[in-house]
Amino acid sequence: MSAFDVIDGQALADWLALACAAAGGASIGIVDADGRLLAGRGAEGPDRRAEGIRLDGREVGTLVAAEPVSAELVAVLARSVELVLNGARDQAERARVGNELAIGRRIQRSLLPRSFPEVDGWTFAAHYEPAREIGGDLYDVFRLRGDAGRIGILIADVTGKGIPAALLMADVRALLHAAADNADGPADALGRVNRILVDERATSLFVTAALIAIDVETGAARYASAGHEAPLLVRADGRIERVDAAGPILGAFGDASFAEERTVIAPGDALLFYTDGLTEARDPGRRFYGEEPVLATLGAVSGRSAAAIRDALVADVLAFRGAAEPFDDLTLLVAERRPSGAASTA
Amino acid sequence: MNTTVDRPSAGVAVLGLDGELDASNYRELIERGQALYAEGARRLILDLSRLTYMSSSGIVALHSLALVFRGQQPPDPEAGWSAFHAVSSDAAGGEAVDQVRLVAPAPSIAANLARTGLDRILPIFPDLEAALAA
Repeated sequence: MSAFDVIDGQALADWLALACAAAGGASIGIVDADGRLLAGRGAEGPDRRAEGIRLDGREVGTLVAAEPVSAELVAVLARSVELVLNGARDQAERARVGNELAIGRRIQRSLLPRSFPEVDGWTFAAHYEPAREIGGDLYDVFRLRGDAGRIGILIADVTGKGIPAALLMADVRALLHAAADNADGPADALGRVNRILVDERATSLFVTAALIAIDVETGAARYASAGHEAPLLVRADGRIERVDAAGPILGAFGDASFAEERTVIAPGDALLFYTDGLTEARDPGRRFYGEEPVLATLGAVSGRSAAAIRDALVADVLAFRGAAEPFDDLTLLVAERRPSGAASTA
Repeated sequence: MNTTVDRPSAGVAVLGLDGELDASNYRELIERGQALYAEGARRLILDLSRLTYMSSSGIVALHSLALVFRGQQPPDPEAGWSAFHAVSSDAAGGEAVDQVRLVAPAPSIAANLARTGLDRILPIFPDLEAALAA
């Protein structure tokens, strides 16, 4: 495989034939780095002209010509080939990067739930909008194994993009699910996942995560966080509480400990999980959305269904963002405990 | 983002960040740090007093600079976590871990550093004088 493989062989031969004709029939050719003739006609002898063809600072071939051909023409021909090789290499690199991002995107999408579990008395709604380049948000709602009355909700955000980030997220999702099923609560689950990442994985990527375990009958919840934005609990009367628990990003600190906090989600309350793509959304003037409008919207839609809350939040941030290009994935997940006596669908 | 460099004494470099640190420029910051280390700096003080925003890429850059000033090469995926763990173990063992120091981060950035746990290994000082004196 040579650098010249990116150039169609026939096109190269035709081009050299034109050059030979323009030089009155003199021999002009291209030899590769091993001296083998690739195209055109070789030239030998002491009057042979030769000009190196370089790609990325390395000589990948030589343009050779017999004496009647001017040095200037030889130089022009060699530089022309270099232009083509550079262009082809840049094109291939862009395609490779684009391809990797696209594959990473597909892996990440496959990790997101297609639907939420049916849980009596609760509704769930989510919004996910990937940015073009940045990637790596994850969320899920799942029944905790062995306990029909408990569900787990998780949200996570990995830095980086492309296939490594997507694979790490797939790994973390599986680890968090298994840990949530088997550990003694969310803090223990994050601790187990953290230790596995610290001991067994080698990566320079970072993961934040928030995990909550809820008793669906009573609304009793236990939660823990690994460096993630605190979920927001909006009470039926419009009061908003931060569901915050101390703990560092996953995989960075072997001696990390994760605090566990408790709360009760009463009928009519709702929980919002989000990643920094929401609060760090920017308008065309590059101003940040921030937390205030999120709190204001939540207060205004307290007591409504998860879908209504989600729709209100999404509408407001999209109106703010306007025509500006999104910098980060926009991810949010709402879990709502239906008011007593309400139907279980929105 | 603009950066300013000051060398107040042998082996110490002060890098001032003015603007925003995000995915578009975090690699350049790491390269600045590598260049300073190559020139002989062994303590890096990052003046964040004029940094208005830092994304998760900034977290990666700070972690990478911690590696650089331990004489290690980022962002090789294999090196990333192990060096971080080594730094963390040093902190747990009571040894000083302060090859990289942070000065006066804005409240939102300080909150980010605290929430992610990076403040455990990158000490934060209220002003440049304090960071130089410690």
